[in-house]
Amino acid sequence: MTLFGELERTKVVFIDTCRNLVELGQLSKNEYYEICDLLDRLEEYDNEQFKAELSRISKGLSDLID
Amino acid sequence: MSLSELEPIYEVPMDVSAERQILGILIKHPAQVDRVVDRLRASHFLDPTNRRIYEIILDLYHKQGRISYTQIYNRLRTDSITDSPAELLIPLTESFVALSELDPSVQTLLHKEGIRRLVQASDTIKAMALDPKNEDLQAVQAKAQELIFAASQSLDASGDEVKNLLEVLNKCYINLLNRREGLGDAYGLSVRFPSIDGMTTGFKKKDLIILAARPSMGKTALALNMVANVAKRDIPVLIFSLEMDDEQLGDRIVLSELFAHKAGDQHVITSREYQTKLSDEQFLVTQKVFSELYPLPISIVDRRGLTVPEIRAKARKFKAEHPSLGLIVIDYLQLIKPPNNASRSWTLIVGEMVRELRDLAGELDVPLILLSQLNRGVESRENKRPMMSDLRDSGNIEEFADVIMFLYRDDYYYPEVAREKGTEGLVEVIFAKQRKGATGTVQLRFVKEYTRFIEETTRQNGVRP
Repeated sequence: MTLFGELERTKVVFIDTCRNLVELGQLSKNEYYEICDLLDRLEEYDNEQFKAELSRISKGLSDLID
Repeated sequence: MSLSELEPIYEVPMDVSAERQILGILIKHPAQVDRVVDRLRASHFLDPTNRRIYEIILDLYHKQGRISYTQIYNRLRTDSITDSPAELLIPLTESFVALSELDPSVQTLLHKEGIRRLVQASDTIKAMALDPKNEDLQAVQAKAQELIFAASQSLDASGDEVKNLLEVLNKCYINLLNRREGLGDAYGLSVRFPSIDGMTTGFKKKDLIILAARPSMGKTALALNMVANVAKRDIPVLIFSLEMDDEQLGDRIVLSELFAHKAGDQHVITSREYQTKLSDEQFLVTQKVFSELYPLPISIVDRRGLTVPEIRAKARKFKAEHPSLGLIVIDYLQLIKPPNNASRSWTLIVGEMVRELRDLAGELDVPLILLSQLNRGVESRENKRPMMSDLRDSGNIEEFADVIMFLYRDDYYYPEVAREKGTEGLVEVIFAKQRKGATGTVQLRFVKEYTRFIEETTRQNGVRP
């Protein structure tokens, strides 16, 4: 699989996980849509900026990634 | 063995891999949607999931939204298409290929769609043909041709819709060069009457040409003269004769050609002699004319009561068999059987028929000459030359026609005066409308006995283009 394909696959898996967290009440819908937007603009962030932004949206999720 | 036992087993032509490749590329390169949006419809995707994803992509595109896996994931969920969008999208991320694969993949889907349409058309034709309720064989045949033609036309039909100026100017430039070199029918289709060709610069492809006059003015004769002149250059012509049968038309064509055979100033064979009994010498001359006419590519449909759909079906079939078809003539409008629609006015019905015939000329890329009778209103005026307003009772002919020609003969109304003035047989061909040229009048001479039009050198009110 190409690097792009791998990245997109990871995004799909990640967003699927987030959606499940919404259903479990662990993540609000607003947080979820902010994460979607963040993923769509991923190329605008470097690694640190991404983590910081994700942490701003949901501390718990950021911790999960770490 | 029944027909059902002969049923071929075939797989529906589809290419799921090409469908995925296109979706993968469009999600990765959303700007490429512009390149496919007018060529690919959702129905080109046969896999239901792929089709739905393509619909979502188009919807996001039209709403100027972001196209991404995330957005598509959310739409798949909110539209309740699936509870597990990830399962549908992950295979797409794996099918991503290079951007250069987009066009070949689109072509693959267009090709598959074209095959499916043909298969679908043939299935419909089969069902229609075997339906005992369909007793009118000719109607079934006409419908079958229409279905096949429509299925054949659907392949990437949108490709020609938008043309850039460079493309258009290229064609204009080639035409310009051809005219300069005197090549082919760069001027349109010449009917070998210099005065008419001078006015029209040849009948253009896709044009609807109305040739209208009161009865006995020579509409059919002029049309047949033009047909013979075109066919002599090996250009196929199709005539729909709703009034005269094939033999009547054949005799007229022969008679018209016999006009050219003279011994001194005398014609070798008179019209009366042709229609009664010929001497041996006359018979030999006539045989020669027959031999000259045999190879002409003129085809005649002489069934009365044809409808526009039937004319269309026959013309399409003819065009498919003779791609170089150069001219269609229909004699005449008022004898075409109108559709059964009592609730609509005659004017609207005729207008619709004329519009459909103009569309047929466009579709088959040939000039179509439609003969039309004028009503008696012409004769109630002092000046009996036909005018555009004389067509108003016959639908929107003037609106749809590209060229409108009227025939007028002074000697028809005032034979004594014509005899005194020596204008017997003089026919005014009035160009009342030319979308691509000037209006004006040219003159021909009508030799009624031979149903033959000949060139008249004088010109009245004519505007040389």
